[in-house]
Amino acid sequence: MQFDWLHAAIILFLLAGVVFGIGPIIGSLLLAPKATGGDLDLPYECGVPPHGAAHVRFGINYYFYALLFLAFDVDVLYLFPVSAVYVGSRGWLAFWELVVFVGVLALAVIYFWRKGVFSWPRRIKP
Amino acid sequence: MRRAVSQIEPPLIDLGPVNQILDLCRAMSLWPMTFGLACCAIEMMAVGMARFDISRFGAEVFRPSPRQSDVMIVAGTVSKKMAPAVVRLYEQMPAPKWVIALGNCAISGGPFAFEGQYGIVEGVDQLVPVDVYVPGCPPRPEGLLEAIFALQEKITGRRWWPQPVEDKKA
Amino acid sequence: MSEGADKLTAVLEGLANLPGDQCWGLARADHHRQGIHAACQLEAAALLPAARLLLDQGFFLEDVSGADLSEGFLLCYHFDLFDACQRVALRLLVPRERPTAPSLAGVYSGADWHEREIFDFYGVVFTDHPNLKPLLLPDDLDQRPLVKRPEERRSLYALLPQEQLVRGKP
Repeated sequence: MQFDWLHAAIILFLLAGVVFGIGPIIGSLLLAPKATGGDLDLPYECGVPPHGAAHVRFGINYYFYALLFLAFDVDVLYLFPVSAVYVGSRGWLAFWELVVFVGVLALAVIYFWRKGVFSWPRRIKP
Repeated sequence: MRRAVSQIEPPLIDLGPVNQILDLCRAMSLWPMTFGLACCAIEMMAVGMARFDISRFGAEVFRPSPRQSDVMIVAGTVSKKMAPAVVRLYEQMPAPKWVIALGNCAISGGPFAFEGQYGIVEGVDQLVPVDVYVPGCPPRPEGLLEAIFALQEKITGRRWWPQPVEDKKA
Repeated sequence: MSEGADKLTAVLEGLANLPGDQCWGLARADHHRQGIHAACQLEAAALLPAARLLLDQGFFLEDVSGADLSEGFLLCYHFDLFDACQRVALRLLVPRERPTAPSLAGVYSGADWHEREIFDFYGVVFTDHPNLKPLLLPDDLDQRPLVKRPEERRSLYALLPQEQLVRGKP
């Protein structure tokens, strides 16, 4: 395929993203004073020398947030390109693929719905 | 109880005009580290709230971590048991960094400076280098705002905000 | 209210059943004058049984405090009921030349830090304490700040009302 302005724009966008991230790091390397000495390299633990392992078990409740984020946000993100090309598809295969995709993510939503995550309790009366 | 050993090396690109611009940016966005140890912490909290609003002057973002903060506001009494933590947190701050000693206890031990003092460090400048001292027990929140202005003057070379008007009738 | 008074009576009966040389000075007190409803003096061997009596009746430990008197160190344990106003004080006199006392941390776990503070400031060593390290003072301090000079100490018999100092059963 031919190289046209769309490809150039995408590559420029990618480069801009990388520069946006790396630029300030290089900027502070060149322009900022550096502190050395003492306990600068010690891991931060509220002013005391750190004790215990750094690898702790994640609380399982954070996994809930991750699952719900997947179910809503990433779901919709992938449905955007589907909505652009669905109109040009033929046959039932695309439809069943879509049903499977949305269905698996809907299982997560139904699980949390049954858990009561989406219901707000009555306001506590003063 | 050791002093903080923290050497600051100058930047690789050390041009005057560049430093002027950067110092202005740093002065107008000083991020304090919440280091409220005692009663002066209440005044520091008041400065962060709506009436005395420190966020007008760029210093709203109180970071609990030394890694992301510019200025350590030592607000309160430093006990000998807390002294190693103060020193360690100062050393863990990246450069450029400044220290404001808020209140009499941080300046010289305050009401705890007497003969036979066994537990309190008499002045936080025995531990870390202090840039601005704010006297008072506790100082008014406006005192802490003036300390931020004085620190900005120290960094950039001039005061950027109007002087408070003396009330002659009082 | 009367339920609290019943619990207090049960506690006092239990304390009265302890051997006479280990629990003396058992008396009710005037709450308006002294702030407690009952008090007694204990020897070291009776402290844990007395504390278990109070725990069985639902009393909670308020604090463990100390005083430097001419007879030795006086450790004062205050126990409260939360749903009725009843306060009991248990007192333990510890000789100065061998300042040890049994630790209450096995019965009331909140006594852990109170006993560490007394160890800091008076030097009383608590046997069977889970973690007898300095709580408030730096580790390398070699003085016991709240120990008075001999001429400043007062006597137990001058401080407490007479009925709380009587030896033998009432």
